[in-house]
Amino acid sequence: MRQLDEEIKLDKRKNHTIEVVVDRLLMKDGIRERLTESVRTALKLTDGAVLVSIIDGEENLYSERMACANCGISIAQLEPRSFSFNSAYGACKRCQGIGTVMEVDASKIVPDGNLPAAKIDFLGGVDRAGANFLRAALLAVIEKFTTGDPVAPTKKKRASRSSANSLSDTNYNDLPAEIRDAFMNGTRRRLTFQYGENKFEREWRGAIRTIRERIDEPPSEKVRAALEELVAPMPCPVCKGARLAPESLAVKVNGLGIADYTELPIAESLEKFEAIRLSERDEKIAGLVLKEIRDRLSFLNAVGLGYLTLGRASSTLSGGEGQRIRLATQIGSQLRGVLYVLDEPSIGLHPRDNRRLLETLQRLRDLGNTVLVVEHDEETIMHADHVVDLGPLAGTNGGRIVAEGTPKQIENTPGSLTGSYLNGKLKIEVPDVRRLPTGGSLKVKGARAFNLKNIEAEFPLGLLTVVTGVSGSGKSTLVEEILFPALYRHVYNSNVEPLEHDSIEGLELIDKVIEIDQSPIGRTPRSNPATYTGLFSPIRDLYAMLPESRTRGYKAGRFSFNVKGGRCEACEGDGMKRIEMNFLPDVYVTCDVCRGKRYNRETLMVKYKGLSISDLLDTTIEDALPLLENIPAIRQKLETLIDVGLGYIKIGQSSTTLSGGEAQRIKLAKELSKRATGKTVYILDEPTTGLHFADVHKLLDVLQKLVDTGNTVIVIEHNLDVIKSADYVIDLGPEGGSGGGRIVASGRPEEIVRVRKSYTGQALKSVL
Amino acid sequence: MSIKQISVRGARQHNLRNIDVDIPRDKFVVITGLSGSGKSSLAFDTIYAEGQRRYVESLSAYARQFLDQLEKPDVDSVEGLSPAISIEQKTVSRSPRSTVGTVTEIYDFLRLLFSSIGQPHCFECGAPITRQSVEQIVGGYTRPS
Repeated sequence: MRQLDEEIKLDKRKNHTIEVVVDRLLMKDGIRERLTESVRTALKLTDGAVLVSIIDGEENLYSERMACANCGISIAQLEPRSFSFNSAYGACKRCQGIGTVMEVDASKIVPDGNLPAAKIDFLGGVDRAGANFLRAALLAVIEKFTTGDPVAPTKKKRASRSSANSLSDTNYNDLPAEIRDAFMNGTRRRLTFQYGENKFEREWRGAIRTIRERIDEPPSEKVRAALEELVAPMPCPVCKGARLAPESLAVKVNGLGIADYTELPIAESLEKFEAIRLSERDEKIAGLVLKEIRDRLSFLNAVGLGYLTLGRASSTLSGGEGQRIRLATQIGSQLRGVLYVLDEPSIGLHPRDNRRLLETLQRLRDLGNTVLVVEHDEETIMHADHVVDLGPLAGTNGGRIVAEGTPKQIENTPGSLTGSYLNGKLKIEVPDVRRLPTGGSLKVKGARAFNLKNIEAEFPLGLLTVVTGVSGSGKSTLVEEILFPALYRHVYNSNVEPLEHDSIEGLELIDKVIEIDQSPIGRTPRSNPATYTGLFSPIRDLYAMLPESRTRGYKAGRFSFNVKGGRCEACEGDGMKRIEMNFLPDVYVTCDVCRGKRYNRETLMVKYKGLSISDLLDTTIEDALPLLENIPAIRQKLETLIDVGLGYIKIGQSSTTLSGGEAQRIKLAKELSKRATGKTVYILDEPTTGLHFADVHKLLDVLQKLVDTGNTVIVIEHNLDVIKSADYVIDLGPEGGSGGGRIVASGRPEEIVRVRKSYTGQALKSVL
Repeated sequence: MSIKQISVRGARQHNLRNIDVDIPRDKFVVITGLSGSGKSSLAFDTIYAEGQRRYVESLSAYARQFLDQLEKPDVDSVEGLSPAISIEQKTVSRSPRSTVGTVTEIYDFLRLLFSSIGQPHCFECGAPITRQSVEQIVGGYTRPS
């Protein structure tokens, strides 16, 4: 401690901590005024910090601003935007609130960590020069970190040199963490690189940064392209995916930060919020807000989404999940007198979760709303107050009301397909015999991605295998994220990465893998079932071979509406013209030149059995079969389309008007008409989505046919009719989220039923 | 006095065959049928579309330009409609900034909660950060007078 009248010299090149004694006081009554003044003076001098030191007692540091008394870190006033990752005030500075950054993947720089420096195939062998440089760098890092102080005595230096040698023979993964970190992320110490005979010293800013810079200034286009493959979205190194700045993450309510709450599954975070007890003051400020949070979380839980986290990116949600989220939001609005129209809310729900969804819908109704649902699910139909059954069949054979009334009345209406399935007159039969395994199988070992608990799953070849389990139990992770990418990579040599697992046995038994989903077969009006299944080429050839075409010299290309020649040029073969109305929606009008026929007059003059190509495209598949039955190439394709139950669609129906279920069956038809290799694996993710009982029936027939020709079909499904028709069932669970990820049961459906803990088994009992 | 049903007369949208149907109000109603039998044409393209269209028509021309307008469905009449909200299966948003928390608006409430009663901590040492007025500092050492 110095007196102010002393001369105090300060080194202006250093930072100093200067404490000033403002006052010394004896603790007694009546000092309040003087103490207040002194504290004020102190705060003024220090810009907001004061230290109160009690002689022989504790020292207390106080701050007038929001600042940490220990570290001096001050934070801004908290505002809602401080917690928004979409605002510059709250977002993590590194990833700007995205949670991931495009970064060179460290596991791709060193593809196999179980090798010593000399043997590592750096960068997976795509860039020789870069790899050699990295190798030199790794050795240089090892050298630097083992030789220690460069001025140390020579003797000691020699001793550690031998340890440097032994480390350079050590497998990368067994190197000290310090060395691996310095290699990947750089070090402040200068390194000595040894390149053959030459040695030179330079800085090392880390492998990740080095590769980044190399991408910016590549030696060649080829190397750049190869290196860019190594860049992938990685969790942000600063916020670890939490998206927020550290000062925002450090704000706590009831001991947990905002990111802690958003990382918990909704069911668990609801429990945490229920447990919060507010002080009287806080209750006044935030009581309503907290109630709102609890309410909304419980709505989400009620619609069966308790396994999601609030931080889950909405781009990764399935359509059904997105719909149920909107549903939960609507219940929260507490409106009445509204007409809610829902499209198949039961999609993707395990029977167990379906009950809760129905309760939610009934609650919406009890609030005084009309709930109108388009649905095939038996349980939903049975719970309805009123049912409208449309049909009797699809497309032009549908569109009439077949039955109307309570579920009971529907059951008793003869001629209602829905009724017949409801009352059990029609049903999907349990297969008499189940196929026996052929011996071969695909074995996924040590699957650990997401919630999978290091499981081993076996998919027998040549069978119809169904993977099931409650929502969030890990079905899609196992099949879509591990098995399918692994097969795909094996078959097509692509660089898709399956998620974490040890190995897959039996890959050599597979030569093709095809995923069949409900995505549209095409998104433009120019694509249709004929173009997709390859039916259009033989049809065009047929027209080109007609005598009329020959005399006119028309080739097959003349009959395409996609190229110049035969198409109507006014609408370029669309049949429609788009008229932009600026602030009104675009209007589509039938082309006034071809009147929607898509071809020009000359092309339409060519007729086959009285039909122009445009007329034929406008014919349903069923009606076209008798006309075209003499042309084997066409006939076979038409027949497979009828087999999958699509006889009612038009040959040239624009693919944008096809439903998801129809698109899926067109894809299946295309596969069925191919020659089977017997080594093909088909993967289907919830194929019964949006399908009526009768459609499911048809789909199952098609799948059984695919298996009969020796193929392997793996289906992810909740539908009990599909599960009971399987040859082999894998049941994941028992619960969703962290409570799932294990194989509860596997085997023939009859074997699943005997497993007590299996929810699927219990549900199956009623149908077997 | 209250209207008991939504009456659809002469619906011909897509493949619907000029059908008449009454949907009871304030009830849980299911429309079923085969894939492609016209369920969605009735529920979405007729009933919902008409409800939406009438709502949009009631807005000013200025407001209308921000909304997608639905085509007038091919139907003779729909009576007893109330404002319609459709909950479809379209995935919510493809933006990397959209999360379950933001679409449900729970995150907005969380932000409010944390900014009002959140207890800031130092992100370096983990100590709680508080802010004290002169009176509070002094109050710790003197008895209230």
